[in-house]
Amino acid sequence: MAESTRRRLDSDDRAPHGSEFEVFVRSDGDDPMRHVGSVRADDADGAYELASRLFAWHANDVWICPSGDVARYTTHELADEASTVDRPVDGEEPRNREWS
Amino acid sequence: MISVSTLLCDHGADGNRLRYDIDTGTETPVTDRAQRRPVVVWNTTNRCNLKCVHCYAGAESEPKDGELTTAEGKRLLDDLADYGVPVVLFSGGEPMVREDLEELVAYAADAGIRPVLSTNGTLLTADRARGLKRAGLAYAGVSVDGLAELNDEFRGVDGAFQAAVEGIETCLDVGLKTGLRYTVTGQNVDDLDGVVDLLTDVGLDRFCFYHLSYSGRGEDLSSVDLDAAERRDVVKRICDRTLRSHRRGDEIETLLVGNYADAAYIVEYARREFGEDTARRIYERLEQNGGDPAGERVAAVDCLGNVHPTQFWRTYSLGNVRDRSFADVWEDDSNPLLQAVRNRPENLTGRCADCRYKEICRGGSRLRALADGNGLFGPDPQCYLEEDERRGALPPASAD
Ligand code: SF4
Repeated sequence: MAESTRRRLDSDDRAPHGSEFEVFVRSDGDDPMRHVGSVRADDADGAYELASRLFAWHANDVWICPSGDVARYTTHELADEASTVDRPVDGEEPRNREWS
Repeated sequence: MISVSTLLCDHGADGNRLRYDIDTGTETPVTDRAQRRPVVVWNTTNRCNLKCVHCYAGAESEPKDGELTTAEGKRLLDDLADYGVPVVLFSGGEPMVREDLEELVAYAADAGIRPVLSTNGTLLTADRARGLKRAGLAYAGVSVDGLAELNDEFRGVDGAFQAAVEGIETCLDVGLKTGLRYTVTGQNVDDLDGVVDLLTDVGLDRFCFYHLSYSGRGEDLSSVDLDAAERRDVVKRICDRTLRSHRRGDEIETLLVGNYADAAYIVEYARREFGEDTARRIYERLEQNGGDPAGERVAAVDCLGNVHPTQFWRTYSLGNVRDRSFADVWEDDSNPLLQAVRNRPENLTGRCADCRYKEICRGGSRLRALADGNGLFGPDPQCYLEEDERRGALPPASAD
């Protein structure tokens, strides 16, 4: 099933500036570590400092990992999720439709 | 985003509940429903042709490796449309350096999203402005941050002011709705009236004033930010100016963005100017607006696909649209920070905790609170409300 369509995503860093670090937290010793997004910093110490400012109120344990070091395998592919949208023929009709 | 003109002058008053929190060029919401999905700022590229000292995105002269491609951008727009996102703000860097901008704008419009643009205006030639209008662009917000000398110094390029003014004129000429974006700092506060006068003369009638956000290159600028008295003074000037122009019959739109202490101030201003009933009515409207929108009514996707709680909160990402859909990232209930930010009024500390305006302000910017060392739920250093205003015994409106 999903396994056969899984593919590896880029392994580059994901920060437009500095470096991106994935953040994992655990509030109690018997909880699993939970991925809670990523922070951007110059180095691991800066990333930990930032992550702890965001999550210290919640978590006993804070782990960080350079984003570029994570090998990601997924069935999700942004470029595969197209739903085709009809294009206007002459470009004249109003393009904004009411959102509802 | 707080519409000073609507609140104080009933300008475009409509009673609708959708309130955008970025400048989308409209005060006439597209639906009478409350805003259920966030407006999404898409920072389409890190590249910019200017070098603004206060750039929140820290843009550079080259694009980043791995920026979302045209195909990925279209899939993202499909994803946002499926989720019911009402508006996408194309931003950057400078979004107009992307050659596929018109294509992406048209795609968004076809998918049922209102496409709007945030630009430095310097690349708005007649051809491009016409192309964008044809593509369905609903609005272009053009940044100018001072009169010529100061603006060009801020923007790091001689002639940027003149080019931006010409860009605004071009938009007006081709019938593309446009407005000013002005980020107010201690350095440019004295130029504000001159810029508004000059642009009024060229026919502009929409003016959007941003408080400085401490992110990107703006992080280093907290020292040149306004102090509380200066901020109060400039907001008062903007309110006064709006009232004056409406009394003269000029239907200008003025908006304040990025500091919801403005909401509290405007209620206080209205009480002094018009009395308790009007203040109460304004408070009720601001209650519907809902206060600082970070993580709720505004989201951002950066050029590499990272999803942020606002376009300014660049150092924290909730996830990446290359890993899973925007909706999955945004709706992830397991993220404790997102949950706490969405329940802000009960988590606020310090002077915000017992402020009577916390429901219409929600403590202002979490990002500035963090940058100032006040913690995730501490006070926003840009709050300029006075103690007697903050500590009034009763909320002035429907909460009683
Ligand atoms: S004290 Fe806090 S909640 Fe009250 S107006 Fe200031 S920032 Fe907003």
